[in-house]
Amino acid sequence: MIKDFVISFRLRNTYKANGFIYFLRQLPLVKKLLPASAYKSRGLKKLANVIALIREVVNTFLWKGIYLALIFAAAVTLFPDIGWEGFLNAFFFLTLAGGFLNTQLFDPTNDKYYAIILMGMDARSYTLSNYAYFLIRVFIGFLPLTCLFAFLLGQSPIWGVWLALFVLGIKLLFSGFILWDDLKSVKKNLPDSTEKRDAMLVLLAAALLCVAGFGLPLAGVALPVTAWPYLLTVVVILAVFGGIYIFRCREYKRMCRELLKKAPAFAATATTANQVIQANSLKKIDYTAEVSAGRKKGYAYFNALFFARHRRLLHKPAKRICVVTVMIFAVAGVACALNGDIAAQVNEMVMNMLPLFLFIMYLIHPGRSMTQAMFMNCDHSMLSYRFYRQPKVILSLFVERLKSLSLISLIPAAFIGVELALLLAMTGGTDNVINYILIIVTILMMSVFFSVHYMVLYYLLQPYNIQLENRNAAYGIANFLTYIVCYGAISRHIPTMIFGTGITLFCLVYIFAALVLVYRLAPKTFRLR
Amino acid sequence: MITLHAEHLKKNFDKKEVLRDVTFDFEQGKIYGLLGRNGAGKTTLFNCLNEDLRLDGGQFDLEDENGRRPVGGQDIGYVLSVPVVPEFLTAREFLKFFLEIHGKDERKIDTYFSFMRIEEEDRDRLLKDYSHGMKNKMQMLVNFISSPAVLLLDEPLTSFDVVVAEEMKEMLRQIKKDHIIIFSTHIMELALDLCDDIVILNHGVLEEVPKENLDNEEFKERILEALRGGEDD
Repeated sequence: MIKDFVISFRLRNTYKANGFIYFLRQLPLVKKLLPASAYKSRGLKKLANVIALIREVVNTFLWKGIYLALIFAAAVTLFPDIGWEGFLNAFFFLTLAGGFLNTQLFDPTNDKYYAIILMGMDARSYTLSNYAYFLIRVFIGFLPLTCLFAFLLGQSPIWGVWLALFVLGIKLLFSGFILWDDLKSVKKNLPDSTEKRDAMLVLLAAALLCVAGFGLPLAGVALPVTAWPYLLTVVVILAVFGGIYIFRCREYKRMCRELLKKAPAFAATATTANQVIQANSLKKIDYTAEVSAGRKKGYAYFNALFFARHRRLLHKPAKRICVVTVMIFAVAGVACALNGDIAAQVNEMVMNMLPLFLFIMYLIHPGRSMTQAMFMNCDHSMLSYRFYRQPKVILSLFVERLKSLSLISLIPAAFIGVELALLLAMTGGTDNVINYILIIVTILMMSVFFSVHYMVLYYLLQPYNIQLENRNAAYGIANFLTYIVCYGAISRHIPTMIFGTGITLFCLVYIFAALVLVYRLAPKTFRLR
Repeated sequence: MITLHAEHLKKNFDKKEVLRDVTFDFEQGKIYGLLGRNGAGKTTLFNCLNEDLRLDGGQFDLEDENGRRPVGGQDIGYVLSVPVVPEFLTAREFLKFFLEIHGKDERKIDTYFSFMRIEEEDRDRLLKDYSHGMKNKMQMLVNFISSPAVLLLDEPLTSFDVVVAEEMKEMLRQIKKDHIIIFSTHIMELALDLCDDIVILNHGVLEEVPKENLDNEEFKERILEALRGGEDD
């Protein structure tokens, strides 16, 4: 088993090291310095291996640290009166949710697929040795952090040991249960619909557990500290049974065959993760016989059909967002009418926290998913036809697409803008009537900005080749920077008059500059890489 | 008579020379069988001709009764081994769109479908629900309709069943008199059966294998000999 683990660990590390070199070779300047022969360079391979190992170590602690820091922050800020009890309560329920959601044993990853299916490694030995490694990482990762946070909350660090053991126990207990349940499903050959229903139930249960984790302490209730020794004892006993079941189970080969059908590398038709994305993207096309392309001809007709067939990606989310915003608006309106303090806070928020809506607009804008669908379901095929790559065709289709995307995304933006203006009026209003107009204009402008931004990024940095491999790291970096900038805006308090005017002017300049760039460069850049 | 002149073509990937000063003339009325070992550069040659890749040197020219000029977008039709069609359209919508933008008569849609033997009940189905072979038929059809001077076919018949493959071969024989057809394949029998000339891409160089007075078996041996001279990568 140890030998199998070492082989699988080396395989995974090689996979990651090659992935790292591949990533470097996508960077514009680095690419010229690194030839394809870089993959056989021992020095570079060692460096990539070291970096992969460092990532492994950092990952062992980083996410657990962030997770515990969030619970800690909630305990000291949201329910300071019952700080330690509240911390334990949230930790208990979130660990239960994690037991459902984070189950390494059942992740259909590519490295598992390569090792078990492609190279024929012993499924049981591979799965169990890697699961044991996962458990060790969980324990080692949690132990110092739980000790630290217990100490910070004025408790004995020995609590850290119990909490790390609790996490370990929950992992074993839930994994044992899911393994038993999965094997039952494989034997009965249950349909996909059952699997989907189960996945929904798991998500629902996890959401409820998260609500209980933070909601109970917020309401002043928490699991008593005195209950913990009993809870721990029960979990440890059940975990022993779970562990015995997992480590004695003989059905891993069959389970892995079923499970790894979901791995991105599975099937000759889906050799890269992006091909799986494409397969999923194609599922989002809805056949509609009664497409109203009107009198449209040529590329306008083509574009009208594209948007009509992707209603599920565009219209439905837009409608849902409108409904949700109306509900939030109604709740906020009632709360403001009943409570003067809330009304004052909402007024203050609308007048000073418009930057928050930059992030909200970023989250709800369909530009990224739509440009991805444009490539996966349309341009991936059409760009191999020369007529489709003519400059005038590229530009005319760009304009058609931008119009369609902007119009659809303006609807939820208009809802949000008008609702914010109404909330402002309902909560005491403002001395300057321009603020009402500015709020609506700013939100609409943000929506147009994101439509232009995503379309321009796509047309200037189109990252994929015909095999759907990502060949342009700049595209990923640009999207990441967009996220960082929008996320950074969340906590900014800037008067609406200043922010609204500034962002509107910025959007106008950006949109103009971006369109000029597209007209000049897209005929050269918008092609398969 | 149209002639495609490939002159001093060069293409490198990093340090690997895929096309090394390739010079060759392709003539109208012939189907050329392009053979080469894996990685020899057949698809690269096609991609350069279709301007999917930029050449590092050399050029493609087309010569007809009006003289000689560089190859343009309308001159090339490219049928890929993996069929590429807009999956969100029905076959009819795709054809309608294609005919519209090429200024051709839209009323002929059903005639074209019948020509390609696409059944009536399939014509209004989404292309994403087509089989690999059916998508390939659609790809072939639009390339036939645009009637380019040069038709590049990259392993196009492998996804067809034997009946359709025979129909396609017959179609290619029918249309070859108006086109230059370059057919890339790994199947020797198919190349010998369909193609008028066999051209081998070896070590980045394109050369014709003369048939002279050889029978099929001897010709096959000569082709294999020429191919063995290439590197296996």
